[in-house]
Amino acid sequence: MKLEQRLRDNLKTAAQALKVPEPDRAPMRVEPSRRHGMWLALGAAAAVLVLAVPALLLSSRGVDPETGGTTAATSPASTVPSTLAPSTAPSSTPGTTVVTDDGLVLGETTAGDNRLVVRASRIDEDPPTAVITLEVIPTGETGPAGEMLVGVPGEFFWNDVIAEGAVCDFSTQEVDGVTEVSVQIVQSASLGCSEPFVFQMIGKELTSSGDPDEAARQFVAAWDHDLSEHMAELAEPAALEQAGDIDLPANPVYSYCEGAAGSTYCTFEIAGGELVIRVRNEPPVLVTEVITFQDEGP
Amino acid sequence: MSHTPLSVSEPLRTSFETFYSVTRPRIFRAVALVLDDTDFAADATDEALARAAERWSEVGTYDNPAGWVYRVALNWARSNLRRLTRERGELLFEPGYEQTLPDPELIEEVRRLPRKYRAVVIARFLLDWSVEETAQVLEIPEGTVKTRTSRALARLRAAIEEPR
Repeated sequence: MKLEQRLRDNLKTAAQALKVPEPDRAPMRVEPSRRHGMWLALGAAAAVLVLAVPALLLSSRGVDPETGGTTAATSPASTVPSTLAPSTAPSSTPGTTVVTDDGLVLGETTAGDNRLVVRASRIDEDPPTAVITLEVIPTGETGPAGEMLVGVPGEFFWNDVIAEGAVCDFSTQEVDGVTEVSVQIVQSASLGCSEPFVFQMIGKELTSSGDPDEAARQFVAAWDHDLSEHMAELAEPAALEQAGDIDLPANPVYSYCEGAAGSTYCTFEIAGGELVIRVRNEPPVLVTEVITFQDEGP
Repeated sequence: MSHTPLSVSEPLRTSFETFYSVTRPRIFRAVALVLDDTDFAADATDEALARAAERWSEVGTYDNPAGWVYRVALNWARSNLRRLTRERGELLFEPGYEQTLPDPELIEEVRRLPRKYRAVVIARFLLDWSVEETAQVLEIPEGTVKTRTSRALARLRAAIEEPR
């Protein structure tokens, strides 16, 4: 028998032998849970609930579920999610959620002379995803003095981050004159909140906790989504120049990272080969080199 | 970066309830074989189906809405794999099919393929999608589908030492 047919037969036998788990009956979005396994019991009631609740939540926030957008800017802003509680920072005061032309403000607080803003910007892909940023806006100024990516662009789903309670935690804490800022965002209904993304702020300077693996993934995601400003924040000029000479194939897939001699090398699978991103381990943690390897012929 | 659209809009082909009952087991099994993890596959499939439910008026018009669910499930899994492996250690797979397979060693070799090759192999040989459909679903060029298929088959052939 030809290999293709053997493969087909075996895969179908193996697939049929897999027991399909029963769906959990807890509907998503009503209360995003942290447990493993989830919702969607079939039946009209659950389907209707799933269809109706997000629309209800979105309308209550003044966000157009289709555009995600800015058309609702004239609607009264809703309040910050109740989970947004900067309890560790007496100086911090939750603000309100507003929609602007620059995206959706998920949360806002003050620290010393600065405002801190967590903002989501929509990436129009299928399904739509989001870029989350943390901005520092000095008192009396309208634009940010600095901003950092929160997590990896495109790894948050837009419909999840615009839902009520998407900011699980947004808190600040003073440690030896340094303001430590922690942000957690809902990653998905079944996984619940992301791990905390921690930043340090001195004056109005913002730095990340400096994970080379995260920096490489942020850089490649920013590249994949044509977010050149964020690429520039994450890389040295020479590495940016190397990236500029490469026509990045769509959908690079993170594979692994390994450390060597003060750097971390992170490999991504791309069509026709591999992309390797070298990141300096010591602060400032920046991408220092961009290399591609072509697959050999079959 | 531009991607090939999955399909053009057409009238809704079926209700979400019908689609769900047919698609969930099929896509769960395919995703489980790609991810090598049944729990993770169930979450990924349900996440993708939840998103399909939210926008069924659009997804339901696609030529291959199951393909959309397959892609979204694999993308969701890709986004969450690193976190999950860190939390749970090695991924788990509970096949339960060893006794029934004609060629268990062949499936073992499929499990050793890189995930990007498995996604193509499962789409082509389990879900029976054409090269064109697989390319649209996975948003990769048709040439890449052909290359990955031929390389995967070459690796499988070499591993099981099939007489040529």
